[in-house]
Amino acid sequence: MAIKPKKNPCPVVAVLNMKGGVGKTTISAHVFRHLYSHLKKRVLLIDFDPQFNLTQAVISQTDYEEYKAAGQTIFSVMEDSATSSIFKVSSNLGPPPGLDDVSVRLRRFANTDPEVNLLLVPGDFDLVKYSMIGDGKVLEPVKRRFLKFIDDARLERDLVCIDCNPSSSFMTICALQAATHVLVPVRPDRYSMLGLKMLNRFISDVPQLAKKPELIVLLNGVKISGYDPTVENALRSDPDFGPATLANSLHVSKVLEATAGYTGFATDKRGQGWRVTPRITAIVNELGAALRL
Amino acid sequence: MKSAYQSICRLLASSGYHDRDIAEFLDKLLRMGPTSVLSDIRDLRHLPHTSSPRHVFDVPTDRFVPPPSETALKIERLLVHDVGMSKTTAIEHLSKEILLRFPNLQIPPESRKGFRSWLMRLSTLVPEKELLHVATSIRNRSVQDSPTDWRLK
Repeated sequence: MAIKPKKNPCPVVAVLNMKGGVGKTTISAHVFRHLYSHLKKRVLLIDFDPQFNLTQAVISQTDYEEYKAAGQTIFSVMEDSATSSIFKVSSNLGPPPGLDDVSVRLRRFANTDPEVNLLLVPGDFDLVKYSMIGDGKVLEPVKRRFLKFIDDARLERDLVCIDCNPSSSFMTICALQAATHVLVPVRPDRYSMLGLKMLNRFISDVPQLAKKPELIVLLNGVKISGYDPTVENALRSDPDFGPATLANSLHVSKVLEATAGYTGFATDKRGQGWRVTPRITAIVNELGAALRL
Repeated sequence: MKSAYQSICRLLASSGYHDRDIAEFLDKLLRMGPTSVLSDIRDLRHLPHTSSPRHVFDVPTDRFVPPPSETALKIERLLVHDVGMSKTTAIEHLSKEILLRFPNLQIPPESRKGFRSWLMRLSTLVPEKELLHVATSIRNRSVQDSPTDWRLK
């Protein structure tokens, strides 16, 4: 069924922090999966990290191998096909593929609202080549193609979420240029404020960003007992980051951790999802309001 | 067309389905019409193959209820517990700071039901993240924590 184009482009959220291990993929997967079903929005997830942990968390290896063989990954958004060398990009790039050609439908509502669904553009290790090419001019057509793909997707979806990798690379610039908002997961531990300040400075200093994306900070990994609020107090009182920090935070939970025997979303874990769903619901409500969904 | 028909019949023949299942499928196909069936088939092409229906389909529900907000409790901890303010002083400080940020706001009067109830009413007018920012800023002017990080110069 053809999806009706909307009049206004939807928000694009880059989930990003220069610091690793803060929960970017956990939030991209579980918060945005719940946002789709709780707020009933057409959500597109894009795995934009060469490590593609988001993809590995939610789809099986067998399925992924089929998608990869069919070119149904983020790499096809960047280039038409892989070149023989990882130091070169395809010349004469054509227009980007359509969303239907590269996305996987992860969830949908049974019988009602077939257009309200959760799509994923699977990740691809081949993206790593962009961190090895130093000449920005060579990559400019790749970036233009990615931005065109996002512009088109914004007319078909209610929200686009880009799960970024933690480096200050070409791909981070691409994601920031596409983003209307940056969702920054922050753990309440030492170095977190520094990581946030570095990201803020990076966003301020990138010359390509004509319009700076709006920051939204989400505290992740808050302990239920024995919690030391020193970092949270520093964050919430900060004149720049305090008003941008969501009131609701994500608590530490084993249900949110990736485990070898489970592929899928935390809120769908049989007999365990209820442990995290109420708190994620509160985050989704607040995030939905912040994004004016 | 003939060869596609024969190929799909062969697929069904080798699928292991009983005649009654195939008859049920054909009956449903006739009732739904080719457009709807084709739409379902297109949908399935985009679903991960190894997913079971439970892992693919959501049922619309309103059962997701967030836990009660912790904002009022947190602000009470910040100002009354950490700083040692009386609740009346805390209301005065919060009101003053909020009016600096939202000059046209009608701050609700102090509630007989207590501090937390007043904060809950205030949170219907001011986003909770702003209230927490204001309360933490007031708290940090009185309580000095050791620095959490190096400075970025």
